[in-house]
Amino acid sequence: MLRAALAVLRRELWSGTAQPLATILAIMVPINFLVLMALFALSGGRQNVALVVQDRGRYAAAMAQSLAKADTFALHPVGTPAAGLRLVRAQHDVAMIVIPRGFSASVAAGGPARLRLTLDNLNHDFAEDTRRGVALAAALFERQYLPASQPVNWAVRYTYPRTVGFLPFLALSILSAALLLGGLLQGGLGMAREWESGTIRELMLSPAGALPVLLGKLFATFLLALAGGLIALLGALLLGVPTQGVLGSIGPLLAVLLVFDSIGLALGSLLKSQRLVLPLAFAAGLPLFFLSGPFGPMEWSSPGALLIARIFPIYYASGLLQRSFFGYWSLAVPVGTATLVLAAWTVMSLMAAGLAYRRATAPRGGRW
Amino acid sequence: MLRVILSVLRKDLGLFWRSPAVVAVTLLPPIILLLTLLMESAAVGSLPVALVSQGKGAPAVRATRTLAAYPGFRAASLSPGAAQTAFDRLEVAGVLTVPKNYASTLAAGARPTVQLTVRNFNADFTDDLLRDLPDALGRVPTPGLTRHKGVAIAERDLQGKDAGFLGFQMVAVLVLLLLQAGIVNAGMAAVHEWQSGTVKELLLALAPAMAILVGKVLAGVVAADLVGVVLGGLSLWAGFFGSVTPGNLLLAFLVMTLLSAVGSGIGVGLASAMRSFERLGPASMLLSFYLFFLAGGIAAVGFLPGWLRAIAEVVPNFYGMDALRGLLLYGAAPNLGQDVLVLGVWLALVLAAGPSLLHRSLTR
Repeated sequence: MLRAALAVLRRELWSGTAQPLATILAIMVPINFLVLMALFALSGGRQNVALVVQDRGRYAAAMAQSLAKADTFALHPVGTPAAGLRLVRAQHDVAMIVIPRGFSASVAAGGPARLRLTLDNLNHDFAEDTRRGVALAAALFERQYLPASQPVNWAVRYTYPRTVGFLPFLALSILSAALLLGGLLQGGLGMAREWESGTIRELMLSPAGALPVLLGKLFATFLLALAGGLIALLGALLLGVPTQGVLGSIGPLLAVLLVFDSIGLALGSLLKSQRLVLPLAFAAGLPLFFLSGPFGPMEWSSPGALLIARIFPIYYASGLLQRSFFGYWSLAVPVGTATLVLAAWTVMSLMAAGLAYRRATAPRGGRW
Repeated sequence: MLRVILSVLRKDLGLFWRSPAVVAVTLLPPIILLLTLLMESAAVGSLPVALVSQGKGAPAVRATRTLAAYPGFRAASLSPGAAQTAFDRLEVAGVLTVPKNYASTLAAGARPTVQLTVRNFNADFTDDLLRDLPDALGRVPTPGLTRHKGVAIAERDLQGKDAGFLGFQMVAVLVLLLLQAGIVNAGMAAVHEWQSGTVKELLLALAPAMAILVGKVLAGVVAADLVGVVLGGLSLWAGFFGSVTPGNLLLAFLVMTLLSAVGSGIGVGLASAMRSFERLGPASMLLSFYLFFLAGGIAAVGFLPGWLRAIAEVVPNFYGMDALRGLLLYGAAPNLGQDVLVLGVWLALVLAAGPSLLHRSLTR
């Protein structure tokens, strides 16, 4: 059996070198996905905001500092409100904040002081982030300079000593989705190509059974997808994922890759068409990325979204990778359950691929 | 020329319709994305928190009620033990505790401290909670206490109303799918000519290359518009766009068609250059995603860094998105003329490059 599996593996790798452009493209797709998602992530950081400071007093400077401390805005100074408004209207900036003349004098007199916010409220979610960011900056300022305006104080206790940044957190979801896409494409396209070109018949006519053929194809797919996966991992590290988790992540990373490659093989075996596998893999990539919990645990999303997320392996894969790199477990199900679900996906996928293979080789009405 | 265009259009559409799987693959992505966004939208803007009130007396009750009603939280009032369990089971992102001495501290003229314990998995939602907390506490009534006014924020909004999360995202998804359906379907239909060997017959016929190109682009436009109409219709029916005037709907359809035409033109050009499904497939998918994200993706362009904004301004779908958001979400598209002009220039460029690409690929 091992000999047959190795022969299939060799044949697969050889056919990969016979079509170098297609192989390189399939390897590069997950990396491209990583780059694309990184482009998406760039928009989720700080908001570009024009800051016009018309007051020269110390409180105006302190207010500007509070705005910077609110962890919400990428502030840049602008000379006049008219210039700031032009930038907002041209969608260069999300908003303009003006600290008007007399701000410091009003604070010195015990308040109230006034800030002017001009907001391009394109979307309620984004607009609320800006509004609350300005409100937080005002509260931080009041806490220090106008304490009488805040009768209730607040304190924050963090569960973990370090808060993972937005980009590194997102990068692991991106990495999971890139590995999934790589597995679906490498496994799915490779298998579908066999059916389309008819070379699967040669394999069926050989004395080797379904299992060695599938294992050989799985390991070939695994090796090809590994190349893309490693480059995608490098990309995730460049996005700020901590390097100290790399060694511990090797096991989960390889296991996740194996799961996704198995699903790819099943997809290719069932669809038997590259023309179907390719768009389906891409179509699945984006929604599954959202179901991996890219912005926070899916447990804090809607119950429906959580229910659907728990069906798909990317939810568990993302949790395992977060555990390796960030050192915390972010799923409500235990680690063991997550591992079992991933193992079940692998087995079921290989069974589905095996079933498709066996059905094709089974005699029908006396004919093959 | 018209006859040639119609023949190519009929042939390519026939290929499209005869393959139910391809129709399904064209329609499936918008439906899947729509469902995903629907689920995501339920949780956007608010995080689950447990609210523990240790304080007794009216001031503590008022504070607890105000925090429970705050729209930024999905708050559940729980006992300390139940809150800890919910926190441990990841049912909540944080626990807000109103302290025992809340009322007495206020009565003494001092400031009580409300504590937030946060599971700081990442900076994004941790910052969301930190932004919400002062805002929520600012709403807590403190009768009998002289409350000085601090910093007042005078807000001026550029749009008449904030667009909803779903409507805003759906326009972006619509643009991605129009572009993708155009590039992929037109590209696939074109590459089929190379794979089946019919391209030589097609190009050696007396028909002008431009007519063949226009026919292929039109077939891509019909397929992409089908996707657009299904997704746009569903979004409109679900109320994501609010009420849209018939005039704006018609203009939106024209912009969608222009965008599909640009996508289809790019698809045919790409197919002429690649000439094999294995190369065209990943390349066309990647190109449509790159164009989408380089134009800001599902975000607002004002959130992007400067270099990415500069790129966005030359990408065609940036203009399609601007026009469609204006028409479908805000009731007017002030830059419609510029948007249509840029899309028209892109279409002209793509069509102008097409015939030479077709012939070059044949002579190679």
